[in-house]
Amino acid sequence: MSFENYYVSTVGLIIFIIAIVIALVMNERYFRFIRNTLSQTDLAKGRGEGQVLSGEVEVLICPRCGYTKTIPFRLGDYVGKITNDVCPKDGEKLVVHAIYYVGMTEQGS
Amino acid sequence: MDLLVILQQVLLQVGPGSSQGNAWLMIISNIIWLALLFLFFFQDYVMVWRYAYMVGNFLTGLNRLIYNNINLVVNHIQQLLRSNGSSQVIDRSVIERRIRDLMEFVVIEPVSAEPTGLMRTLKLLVTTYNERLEESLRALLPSIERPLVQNVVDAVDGLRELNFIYKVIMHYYRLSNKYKNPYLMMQIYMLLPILREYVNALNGAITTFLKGQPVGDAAGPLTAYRFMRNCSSLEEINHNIKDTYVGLCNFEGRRVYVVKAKGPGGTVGNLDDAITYLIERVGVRPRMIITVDAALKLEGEKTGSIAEGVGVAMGGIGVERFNIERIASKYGIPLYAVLIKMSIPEALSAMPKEVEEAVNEAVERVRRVIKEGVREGEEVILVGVGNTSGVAQ
Repeated sequence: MSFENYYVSTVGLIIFIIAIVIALVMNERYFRFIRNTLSQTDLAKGRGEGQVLSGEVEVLICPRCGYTKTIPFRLGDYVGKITNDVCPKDGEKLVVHAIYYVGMTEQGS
Repeated sequence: MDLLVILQQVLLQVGPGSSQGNAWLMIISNIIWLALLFLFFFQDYVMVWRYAYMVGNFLTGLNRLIYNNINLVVNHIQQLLRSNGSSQVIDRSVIERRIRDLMEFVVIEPVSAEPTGLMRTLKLLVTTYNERLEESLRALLPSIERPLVQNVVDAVDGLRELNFIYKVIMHYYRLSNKYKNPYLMMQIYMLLPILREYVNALNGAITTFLKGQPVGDAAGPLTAYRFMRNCSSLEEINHNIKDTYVGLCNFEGRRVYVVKAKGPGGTVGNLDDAITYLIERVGVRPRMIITVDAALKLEGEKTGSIAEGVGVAMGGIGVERFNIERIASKYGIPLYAVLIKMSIPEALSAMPKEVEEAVNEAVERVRRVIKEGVREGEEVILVGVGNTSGVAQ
């Protein structure tokens, strides 16, 4: 077998293998995984360390003095509900002011 | 000479003196090149195999998602019955069968060739559908508070939507296989990213509704609620419109009628009926009608950004919007809209913090619009549009 034939065969095989590897890596699932990993890294850098608040939370407010308290969401609570929690300043019952989700949200670039 | 040997020599262009190892390497190499050539000519078929694989995977995932959500709803219903101390024992399979029946419930579109009265017919169909859904679940949950039943109704509505998507995609998937038509499969494949996003949003919505949390779409009712809390002399106006709250308050000398769906159960109310009632029955002559609603953002727009405009900010099939536009044009009332931007997943899932913060900004905008456009002593109607799940009044 001549050198040219041997060279063409070897290079052809290598290109074929590389093409298969690229097809595997760049398919949707892996692409999504790589993108998510990168975006999570960016977000973590943006937030800085020690500033992690995520999940479903609710904000309780004192209707008299405006004191607010943020707690994890409790099943059965809704905005406008008068809770049994009392304001530490004036003893007024706290009202649910907001319920929302803190976490990763996809923003338009 | 043997035929195979000749073929080998022709293929490899080598003489009888070549070594056997190199010869086989050349054969493999040629087979690979032939395979690539083959793939080049039949790449359409290869692509279709890939499309079919992707769509099949999507359908399998969606089927699993529906199954999990049915279990979630059934467990929730059983938990509600247990927590209520109900002596009524309902078999799990009975609940599941009822849920599956409701998932197959269809609303047949009215004939649109003759458009006279089409909106009235559509309104009738929507009302009948909502009532039927609620009655069916009420039969399962006879002694449970209405807001909790309404939340289950919304969850089942989401399940029905998921089931519909599954059935339509499955239909085209099988049709494509049946007629060996690659173009049907390609169309579904191209829609997959959008469908996947919508399905994930619905999946989040079912959980959120069952928990009774506000979804992003509740931005309108939440704006109305917060506006009312900043008003003075708030009073509720009595009426017989289903699932709708109408309040009257004083904002710096202006009489503001606040209309929203009645929470905290998940419902969108009958806002058009409430406005018609206020104008035609109570005799309110508003300086303007302000609607606040969640609007779908375009890619590139920021979640929680606010836009103002004229017209009725209201989604859905358009029945309520039509009715409000009609009554406003009949009495010459200007229509003003405040839109809170968000994506479909954000509108259907638990309200994100960005939207909650935007509601405060929307309240400020409404206050400014009223101060600028309505003089002291005049009247104005403020409508908080959207599903009021998790937001009272």
